[in-house]
Amino acid sequence: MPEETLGSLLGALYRRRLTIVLVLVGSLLAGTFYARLVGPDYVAAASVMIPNDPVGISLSTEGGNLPKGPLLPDLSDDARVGALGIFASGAVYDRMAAEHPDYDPRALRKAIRGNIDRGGNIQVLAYAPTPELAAELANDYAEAFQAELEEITLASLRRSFEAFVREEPLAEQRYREAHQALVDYLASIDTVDLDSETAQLLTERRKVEEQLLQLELHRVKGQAERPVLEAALAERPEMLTSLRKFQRNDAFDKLLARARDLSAQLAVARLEYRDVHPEIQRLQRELEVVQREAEELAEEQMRLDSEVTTRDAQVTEWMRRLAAMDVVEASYDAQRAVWAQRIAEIEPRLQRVPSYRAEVAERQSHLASARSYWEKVASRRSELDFHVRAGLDFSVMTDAMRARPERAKQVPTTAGLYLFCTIAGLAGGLFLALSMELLARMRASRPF
Amino acid sequence: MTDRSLPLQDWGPLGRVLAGAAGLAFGALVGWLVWMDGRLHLRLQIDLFGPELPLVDDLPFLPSLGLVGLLLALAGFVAWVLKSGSLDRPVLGLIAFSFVAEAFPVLSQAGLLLLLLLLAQRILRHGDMPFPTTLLMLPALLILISYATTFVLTNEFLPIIPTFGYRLTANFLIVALLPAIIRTRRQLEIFFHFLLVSACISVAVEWGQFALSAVAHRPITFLAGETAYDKVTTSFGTFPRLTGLQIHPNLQSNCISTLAVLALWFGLRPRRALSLGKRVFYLSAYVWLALGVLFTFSRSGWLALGLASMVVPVFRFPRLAPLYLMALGLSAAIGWKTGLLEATYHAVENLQKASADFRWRIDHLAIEAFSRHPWFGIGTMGILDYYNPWRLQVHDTYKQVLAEMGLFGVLAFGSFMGLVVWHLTKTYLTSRFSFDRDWVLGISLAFVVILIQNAFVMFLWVRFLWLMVILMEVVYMVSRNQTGRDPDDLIFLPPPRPTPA
Repeated sequence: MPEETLGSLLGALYRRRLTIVLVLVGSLLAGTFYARLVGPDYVAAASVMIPNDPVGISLSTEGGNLPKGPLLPDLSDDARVGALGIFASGAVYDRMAAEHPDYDPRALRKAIRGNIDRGGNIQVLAYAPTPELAAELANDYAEAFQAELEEITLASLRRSFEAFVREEPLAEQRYREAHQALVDYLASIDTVDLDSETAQLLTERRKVEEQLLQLELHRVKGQAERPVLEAALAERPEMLTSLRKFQRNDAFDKLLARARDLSAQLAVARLEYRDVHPEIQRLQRELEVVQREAEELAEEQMRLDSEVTTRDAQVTEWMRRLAAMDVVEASYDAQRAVWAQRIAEIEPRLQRVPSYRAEVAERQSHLASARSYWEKVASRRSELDFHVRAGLDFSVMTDAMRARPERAKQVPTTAGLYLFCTIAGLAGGLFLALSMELLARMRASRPF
Repeated sequence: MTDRSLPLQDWGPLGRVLAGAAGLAFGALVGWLVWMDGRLHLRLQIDLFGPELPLVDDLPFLPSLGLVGLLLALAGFVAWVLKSGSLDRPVLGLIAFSFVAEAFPVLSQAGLLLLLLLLAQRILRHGDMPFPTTLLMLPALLILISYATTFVLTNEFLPIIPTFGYRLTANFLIVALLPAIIRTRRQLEIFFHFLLVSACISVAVEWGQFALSAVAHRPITFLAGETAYDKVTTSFGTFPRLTGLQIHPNLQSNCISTLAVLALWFGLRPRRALSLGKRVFYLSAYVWLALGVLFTFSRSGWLALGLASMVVPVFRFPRLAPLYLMALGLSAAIGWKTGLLEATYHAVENLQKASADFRWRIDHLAIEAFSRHPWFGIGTMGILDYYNPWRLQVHDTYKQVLAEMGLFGVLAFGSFMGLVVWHLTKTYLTSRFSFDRDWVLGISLAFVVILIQNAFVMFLWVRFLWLMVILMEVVYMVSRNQTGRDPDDLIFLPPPRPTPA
């Protein structure tokens, strides 16, 4: 085939205008024929929202049951996949057909589609020859969808509830068994409270060890001090004069008094007599005798009355300490034997404590686990009991979301049908005309 | 309008009536389809694509619009066949288009089928067909044998068969067919132009994807199921990684940047060697494709295009090369000293740091696989099951060959590429046509893009890589004709007949 210009191509199209017109006419005629013969459908849409957090009842808190804002459609993939699964299963069609025996299930499957619109809401589209029927179908399907959704969700809740009802006594029994096992074990190891008993044993052992240490210290100290004390004692007398009492000499005191008296008599006598008087002579002689005697006793004016001799206090203390050392030494073996025996009694019990403790901890853990499980099961059972009895809202469809006949749309619209029949007819005519031209040219370039 | 228009009555009266009836029937069929679409469009959309189809949900007459588009595309194809006078150009265009449109694998199959039909028709008409053979078939056969060892190495070879079959036709067949249909310099240039236009169309599709993504607030590209890598977050906002007509942004960037470098090379031809119109076309195409590469957000693509583009002036203007290199070095020094280069590196790295991290781990697996199975490797795609928790390919084509095909594969691919390099060198040294030498340098520089990017991606079995290799061989095959005249036995895309005076 020779190459062509754009003009020759347009010329070929002009020559084959009849083909283009015939395809266009055929397209329009077919559109008109089917529009008249079958008639348009009407599509009505009803919406259902699946809230993010279904409002429910809780035994523990109201926090999760209070909507935080407007109810929003659930845009999560899980919810979407779940909704699509319900659509695809056909269960809603079957439910709808069961509730409305006048509906043909096969016709329903052709006429109704479950969709998710741009806002994420579940959208039910129903096609029917009249707007009223379309709206009715859409609403019935939406209600059947809600009921199906509720049944599916509640079925799961009920199954869980039944399982919890069966499980709760078993959980309680397991808890009781664990509790009894712990009590039995504590009894078998002869303790009520292993922790406090262990603490007591440890305290006692520490005290005994301290006593032993003190004993050793005293003994070693005594052994070191003994030679020193003994040497010191050897250098000091044991007894010491601790008190001497003195009193005046009576004979001396009497001589002094006689002397004072004779002096007085002499003085008086000299007033009457002269010194040669015999009286005075006698008095002088007597005074001289007394004075001579007094002078002889002058060194014995004080006379020892009594003297006390006592033990040396330092020596006594040292001797006491020596005695104490002797006591310590004497009681050392006996005391040590007593403390060692006590240690020997405490130690084995303490050595068994780790194994006791591990065993008790394990049993306590079993007990705590069993208790927690029992409490959870009981709590969930109570919660589900509430939910199953009170019911939950799994979806929302307000009046405004229901399909209405006046909002049903005609499909296809007459304008759309003729517009697209025209455009597609022209495109088809163009293609056919050019194909026929190509065929003609290929024929012309025989042999091909 | 030419005088060679055919008479109106192609088939005679009965034929005309039948043709008219066929037209009416065809129109009725179209009308029925539009009617059915009008009634059932949303039901059909939901049944076929699921609910909440992005953008087109609830859009009436969408399939009708698709029907119109299909009919117009077919009409356009037929018109192109009529205008070009044969099926050759449209088929060549379709094949070129299929290489930049991996998102539509049917195009490559359709193009190949049409080509085979066309060749069969020509062989029947002429009774013979000159089929230039190339030595490249031998290493290609080695590669095929190396690939086939996978069937021995793996326990589950059934899943490999479809991929093997596709690559056998899409990759290996082109090695045999392209030298047979592109035999002249004119054909080579035509094919390159088709590739360039196709790449530009692919970038135009990128802008469409950008607009759709902006409207839908989520990436709308052909990167199916790769939600982790279909967008990047930058300081300017989150951008979709556009794929154009390819299935991955890295592949798109690889393809269009390779062609962009070729366009830049040819666009910078000396003044008298290129018309103004062609220069504008090439350079505009380069800018257009470079913008396309930018918005793929493929870091390896940016690197490859940047380096290859910087090298082009060195070879195109060798006299000015020292000055250019000095300027380049000065710029690099300023960038280094000011910290601009480092900041740019970190900004680019942080675009998808996780992606950069995990590939080193898989590369390590590949090295381990090679060290344990050095001779024949672990089989094609074997790395997916080789203690590979990510089940991802090695992101390094060279390591991919080592790990999956072993030393035998290295030998096969080495001889494959070695032969091509030898042929190109020979062409560059011996050809008396500047066209050939220009192509040798141009395609070698363009191949730098592929060589660089394949250090970061796994494009071993991507058709575009094979196309570029065989195109290099085609340059050699074409250059063997040193007479300056087209061969007389051309049966595909023959030169236009001289216009009668």
